[in-house]
Amino acid sequence: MRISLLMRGALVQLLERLLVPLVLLVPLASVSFLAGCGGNERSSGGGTIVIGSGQDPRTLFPPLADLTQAREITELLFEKLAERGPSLNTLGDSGFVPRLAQRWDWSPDSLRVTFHLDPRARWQDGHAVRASDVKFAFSVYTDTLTRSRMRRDLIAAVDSITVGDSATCTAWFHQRSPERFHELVFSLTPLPEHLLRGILRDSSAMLAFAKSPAGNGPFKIVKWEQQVRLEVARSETFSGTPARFDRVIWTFAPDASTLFKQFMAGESDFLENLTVEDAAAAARQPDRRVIALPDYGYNFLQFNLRDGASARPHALFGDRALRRALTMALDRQLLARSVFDTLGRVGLGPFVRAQWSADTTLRQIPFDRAAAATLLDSLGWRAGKDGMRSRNGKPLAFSLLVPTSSKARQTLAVLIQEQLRLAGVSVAVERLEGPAIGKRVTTGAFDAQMGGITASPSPSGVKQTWTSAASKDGLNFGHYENGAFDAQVDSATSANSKPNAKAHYRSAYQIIVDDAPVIWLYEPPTRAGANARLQLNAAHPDAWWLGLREWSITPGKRLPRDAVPAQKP
Amino acid sequence: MRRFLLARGAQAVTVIAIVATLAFVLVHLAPGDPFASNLDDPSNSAELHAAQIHHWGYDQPLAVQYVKWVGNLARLQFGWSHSRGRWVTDVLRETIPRSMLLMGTAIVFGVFAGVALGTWQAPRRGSMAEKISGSLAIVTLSMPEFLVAIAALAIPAARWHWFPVSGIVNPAMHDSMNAAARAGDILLHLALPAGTLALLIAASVSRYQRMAMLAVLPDEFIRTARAKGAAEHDIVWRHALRNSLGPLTTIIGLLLPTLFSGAVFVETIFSWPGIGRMMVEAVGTVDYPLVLAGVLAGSVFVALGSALADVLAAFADPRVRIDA
Repeated sequence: MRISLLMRGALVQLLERLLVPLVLLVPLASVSFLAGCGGNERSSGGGTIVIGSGQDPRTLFPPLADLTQAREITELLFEKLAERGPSLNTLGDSGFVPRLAQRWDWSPDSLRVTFHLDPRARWQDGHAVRASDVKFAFSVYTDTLTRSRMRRDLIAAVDSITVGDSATCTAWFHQRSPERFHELVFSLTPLPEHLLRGILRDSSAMLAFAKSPAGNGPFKIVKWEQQVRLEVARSETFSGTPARFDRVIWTFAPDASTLFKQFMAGESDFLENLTVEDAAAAARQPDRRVIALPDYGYNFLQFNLRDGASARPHALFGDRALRRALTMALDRQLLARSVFDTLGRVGLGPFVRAQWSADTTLRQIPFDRAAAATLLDSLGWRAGKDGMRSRNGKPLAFSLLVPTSSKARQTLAVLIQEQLRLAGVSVAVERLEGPAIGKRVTTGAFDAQMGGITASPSPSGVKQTWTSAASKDGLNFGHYENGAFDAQVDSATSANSKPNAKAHYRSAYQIIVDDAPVIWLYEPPTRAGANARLQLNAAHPDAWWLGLREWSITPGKRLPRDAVPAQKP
Repeated sequence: MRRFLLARGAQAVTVIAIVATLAFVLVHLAPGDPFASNLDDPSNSAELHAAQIHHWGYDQPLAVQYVKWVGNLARLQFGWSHSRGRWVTDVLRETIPRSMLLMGTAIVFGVFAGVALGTWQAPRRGSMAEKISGSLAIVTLSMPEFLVAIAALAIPAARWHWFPVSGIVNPAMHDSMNAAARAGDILLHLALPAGTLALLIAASVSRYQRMAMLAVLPDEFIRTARAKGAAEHDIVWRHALRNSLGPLTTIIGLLLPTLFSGAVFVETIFSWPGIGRMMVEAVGTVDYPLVLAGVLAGSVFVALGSALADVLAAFADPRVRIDA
């Protein structure tokens, strides 16, 4: 009893004693916050840009930096030998912009290219960038223990890299494939051999490097707090034109609406991937701008042409005519407009309009519900009293997998369900989490799925997505296999001239569009939001972050954060 | 008392072991794996995927993986986080203190506000003010955490700009501030997420406190105090309140699981980089080691919190020990 009373007394005293400090703490802290803002040093006047991002980069080690979030940071920390130019050409070396390599020479047989590195180039620890760093990077990328996703393209194109002198290295190609130069410079980022040679098998040291790497780019890493922020500052050792910003800060939030509220509240200056609704809301604000970025994704309804995991044809989708009838039954223009309003663009095939191989004149399967009905009738799929079709007592019905992560795909699935119902086809929409969809799709346990591909400027990515080979080791989960299509893709990827390659790509695209293994639905519009105080002096067509070194703050629109100098790493 | 403590401790350890084992089995039986989440990327080849699965031992029988996992746990090794590219221990070292700060602040403010509200309501039983405040508490309790969080985010932060929208610090200014301003910066960012959780705790505690006060107010010692001429304010806030606080420790113990699950929503919506947000992201990326570490940390938090509440209650009331 005594203990009980003592406890009660103690609790009351605790509450009484906590009250005053807690009530006073917030205003006191707020006052001290306002008084304590502002750095002791002055910045050099370049200002600070804050970028809202949905995800941490996971790693800043270039061979493993395959996610967009990682690429946009590592490509500011590390320079490649050359970059794709504004034309986004990937054939030969035409239009490529020198970066770490000042120039390059081809051998007479075009099987090797010699890069002449910028002799002023320095790693951020002051060491010179040497040709041996390029050779070392090649060995790291192609080492199976590194498990780099770039390895496959790199070893397919490049046999080896040799060193001439400290500023000259030569890449030896297997064959004269038209995109060999692109595959080399896009996949390979030179790495500091003097820092990494001794620690490649030391996981702790590699972890430290991957978190705070010493690069050779226009920015250097200052601080990375996972889930919170990542800060880079202008590098003093960079040999090219210095970046204008003092600091670039990424702030991470998993929720898209939170990111947008941050952007609209002025807490961030730049935000990628605005939804259509958010883009419209941002465009209504005079101090916000909406920027159209090139669209490199295309989305589709993919049929499984096989019966589960077996090699037998799917009971429904093994029939090309049925697939064409279903495509005819869908008003794709209306679908795209319904979800993306005026920004909606119908998908045309296994490519995006931003690629040089794109062909908007392909013969499409037209929307014609009456023709679809006639075709279905001719295939024996007859409408019953309720309007739904069946053949030999078996209903024309299938399930459609939709990832819960995509609002657009979920909305489209419902609209497709309704449009196909009007054609007498029953669709059961299955909404699943990404990993569950992944399991179903990779094991063949699906009828149809709402899928998407993130393409690159090189159209040769079609090899990993739609050819017969990609059915075994790639993203061809619907198992579309057509020898004529494969042959045209092979011819396109080995053609030496752009017109020739384009003609083969066109033929390949026409074959797959006619075969209708998928219904090409839309190219999602990519919009970014920018605070009007930013001067976006340069916009790189396929990677906005590459232009960031030339962006700046409009004079007179500086904020207190622009006066804060970069901290020491 | 020692026997009671040992029994309660053993119970907590058993609960944690069962939860951890169930979580291990369920996580591994769920579809997907840490390396198959991105189907849109053409560079994600089946060969590379298989190499990753083999390297991390996910192609071994589940029982073998379980034994290895338990062996590592015994050495306090939680494994490697695939989604974050670092050791899980390092991730926990960062996220747990942030969640503790959030939940600790929410408990202190929530309990204090709830006790104050319940104490204020009890003597006004049946009045309009008591009915309105009681209804508001019930409405708050009925609302899902994420709805309260979204409302808090939409109005005081996004519309009025009184508070930062999200995060734990001002990313561009924090490092340039002095120590006091840094603390203020953290408090400013803490206000909305902690306030959201505190509101939910306060609504719950106020209901318990009101009942406890209603049970105490008719007692003889209150009547004696009134007969001696004590002021009504002193009777309620000194005599009655002190005697109504006994069950509070038990109530706080019962609130811990709710608080932890609430933190998952609140941390995600306010981008508070704690263990709740970590769990959501880990589940989304099927990051087995991180999910399991999060489940384990959550069960330890809830089990130890409940055990601590029981022990404190036993200190306060010996009958609890006898019942146990």
